[in-house]
Amino acid sequence: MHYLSPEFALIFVGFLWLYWWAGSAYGVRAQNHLLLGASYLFYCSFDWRFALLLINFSLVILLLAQAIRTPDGTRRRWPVIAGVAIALLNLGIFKYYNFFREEAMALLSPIFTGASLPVLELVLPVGISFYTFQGIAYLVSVGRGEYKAATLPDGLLHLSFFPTLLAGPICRPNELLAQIESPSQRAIVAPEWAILLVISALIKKVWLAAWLAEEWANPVFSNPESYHALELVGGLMAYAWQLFFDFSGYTDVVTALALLLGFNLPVNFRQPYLATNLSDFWKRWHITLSRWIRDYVYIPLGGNRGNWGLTQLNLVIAMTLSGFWHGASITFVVWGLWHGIGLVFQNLWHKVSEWRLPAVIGQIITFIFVCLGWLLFRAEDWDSVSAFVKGFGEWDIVPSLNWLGLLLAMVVFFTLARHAQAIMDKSALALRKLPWWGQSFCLLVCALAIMELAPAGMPGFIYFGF
Amino acid sequence: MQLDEKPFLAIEPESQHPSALAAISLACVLLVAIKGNALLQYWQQTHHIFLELGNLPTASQLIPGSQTFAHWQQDFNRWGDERAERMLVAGQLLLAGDKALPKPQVVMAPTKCPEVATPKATAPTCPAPATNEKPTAEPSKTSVPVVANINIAPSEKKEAKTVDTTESPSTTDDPAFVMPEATPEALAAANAPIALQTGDRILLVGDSLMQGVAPHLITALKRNYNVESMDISRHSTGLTYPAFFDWPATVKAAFELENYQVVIVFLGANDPWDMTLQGKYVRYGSERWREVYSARVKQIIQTTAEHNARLIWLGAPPMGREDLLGKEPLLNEIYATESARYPLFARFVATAPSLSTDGSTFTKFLELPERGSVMVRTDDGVHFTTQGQKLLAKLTLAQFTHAAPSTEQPPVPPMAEPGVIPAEPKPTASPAPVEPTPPAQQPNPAISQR
Repeated sequence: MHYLSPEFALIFVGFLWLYWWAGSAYGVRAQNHLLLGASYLFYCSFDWRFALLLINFSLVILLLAQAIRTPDGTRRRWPVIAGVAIALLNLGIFKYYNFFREEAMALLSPIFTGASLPVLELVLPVGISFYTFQGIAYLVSVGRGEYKAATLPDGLLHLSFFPTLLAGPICRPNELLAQIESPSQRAIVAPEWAILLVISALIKKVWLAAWLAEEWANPVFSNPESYHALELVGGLMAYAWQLFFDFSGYTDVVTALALLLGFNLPVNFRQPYLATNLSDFWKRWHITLSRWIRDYVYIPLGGNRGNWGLTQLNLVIAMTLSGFWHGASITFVVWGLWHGIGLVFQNLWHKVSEWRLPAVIGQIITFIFVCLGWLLFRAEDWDSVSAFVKGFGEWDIVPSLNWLGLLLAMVVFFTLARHAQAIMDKSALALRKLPWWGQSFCLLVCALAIMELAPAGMPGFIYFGF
Repeated sequence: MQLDEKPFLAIEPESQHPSALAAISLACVLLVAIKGNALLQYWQQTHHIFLELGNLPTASQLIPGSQTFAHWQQDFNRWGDERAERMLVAGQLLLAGDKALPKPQVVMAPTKCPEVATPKATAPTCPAPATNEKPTAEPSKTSVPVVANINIAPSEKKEAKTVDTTESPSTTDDPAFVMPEATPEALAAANAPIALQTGDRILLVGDSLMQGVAPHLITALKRNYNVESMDISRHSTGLTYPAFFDWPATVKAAFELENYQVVIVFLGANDPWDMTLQGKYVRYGSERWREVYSARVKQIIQTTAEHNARLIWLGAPPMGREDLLGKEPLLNEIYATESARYPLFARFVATAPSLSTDGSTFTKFLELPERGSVMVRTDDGVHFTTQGQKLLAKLTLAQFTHAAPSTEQPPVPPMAEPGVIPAEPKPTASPAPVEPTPPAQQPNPAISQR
């Protein structure tokens, strides 16, 4: 079931009544039990085997976390090491086996003629990358003594909480688990924000991302040879915005769902295309993943505790692994490497020169760099990348796409991004002043308008595939 | 929004969940009341539920002024389309200059009307002399390479007609359509690879199966035959739920906009489900179901035949998803039977032998020469990996060959590696099965982009 599908909306609204009634009648524990049951049912709607895998994974992680603390108050290390190894092995088998199998066979074939590794027909469980990272974060936090081990029901809910299960945000234990464990009664104190975020998600995902994909990104990426160089540039920019609208639209809707359940999720996006340099970009794009990579890859590798050269090496390794996390493909690895090398160049500049680019120039250069990275992100293989790059030299074709219209849309997007926070704050304030039926009417009108404006169909969220 | 900076729980301990729930519930109820039919079609198509329900009475009909709103919406859409068309032309002129302008057309004397090149529908009379000798920058006269995944919904047909006045009248549903005689020579020519020549146009029709294959096919056809392709495939569609998306009407509308020499159809993943017809439940595979589905297949083939185009119907692949297991043979039987009724125009190409080790069951990994075992189907048991898509593009490409060279034609570019393995060389065949193909109309980019 899709978060923005009509069936999910109707079932969720019914569930909300039950959930809040249980809260007032039986308290927070009952609400947690309901949430746990709903989360597993929700996951079963994709495939019951996914739920089986998740419960196995969760039990292993939670039991190992329980084993960390000794009776005398010290902490064991082996459960953390074992837990991280099991989590990564689990992810590796389901997500990366076939990638490594084909690569390993390619390497082995010159040495061992006819070498063949067994084929495993595995299905990638949706959300596995996200709950694996959340599980590791929990285990390491307990191992470091930053957080105490959770009870079984709370821990299971922490790793299966349905708003964040499929594509994050990747929560630290002190963000989500702390709210699950809190004995105080849950409350919705800002319903206008939930309504506003649902409207924002509909605009971003159902309308803008779908429109950009259908009109620009899909045609241009599927057949780059037939388009003028400027159309390819336009298609790449359109894909950049499509990706942002898609994933931040997803984040908006799950944040709204969590708010309606009385939870507060961490922020995942802060207008990334307004970033003035690459490190700024990574503080604004998929923030919960960036900080996970920083906390659990970059810092354990040594972070900036060594010399300058070692710090840069750690950075490149962390970014490359981040790329690999996105998908078992060499193009994702190179995408991570691209950003890693970009960050090294930026750091080198900052080391040798005090001079900084004006903010606007920095924004433009960062956006171009990020867009070129998205080309690797989108491409299925090297042939697609080279065909697209080759198309940048094609200036003789008569354009068939409305590139002036896209240019106008880009100007609008960048302008709105600058004022997005203020617009949201003011809209929330205005919505708050309305009675409940007025808020309802606003949601209805927006939903109807978006249904009319959006292209037909309900495309899936891009990040569900990661 | 910086939620982490807003201590919701700390500032206001009093929960507003009753009003929040009331607001959201009311919005949902009203949305279902207004959009009931659209939701029903969506659920029927995607989850195959509520099939027994016919059309729902919708509250939208009761809302005062809904007609006025519909008119406003139409006006707004028209206004938007006009702006987009102007911007497109301006963009073309800015980038391509004179090349974006059409070549002036010479006014032909009526007596010089070439009979052989006249489409069947306009055969009785010669077309009126062209009056568009002025080099205007109308979008309908500009050249468009390829527009992928465009939307040619049947509802846009009327508006499209008002723009493109040079198209031939529609002959679909024309009772006067007579199947040409299938002489042995004509049949032999029809069974040979389809001859393509520079400038031919190909229409790609289908669901998400075609959406995966189309990009590879478009590139390969462009490189090998210098032909243009129009991909109008759309995910979640098929022939079982025309209320959700009507492919026969869409293909008809596409032909009314432009001429195509070849149509390639690849669908079926959303089709092996029960139907409802006038409120009656029709089981998948029943006699009535076959009859209705066959008629829809036939409509597409007939539209193609009436426009003297060739059609390649790619068979549905073996499915690995539990609820689709073993269902595609019936669909393929219908596609093959209906294609066989129009032997001069349509051909059925089974995809199973190329995608399966035993030629009929779902196979995720295939042993390919030089590549070893590769994954050709995705985890969902329906769609294809890039390798699978390339295999199907190769299979389709093998149905074509170059038209016999003509002195008036530009030289054919050499065969290139298009990302798919090139098709095996086939003997040259007659370019047209029965009648000469009418000259291709120039596409209208402004319309095509919708």
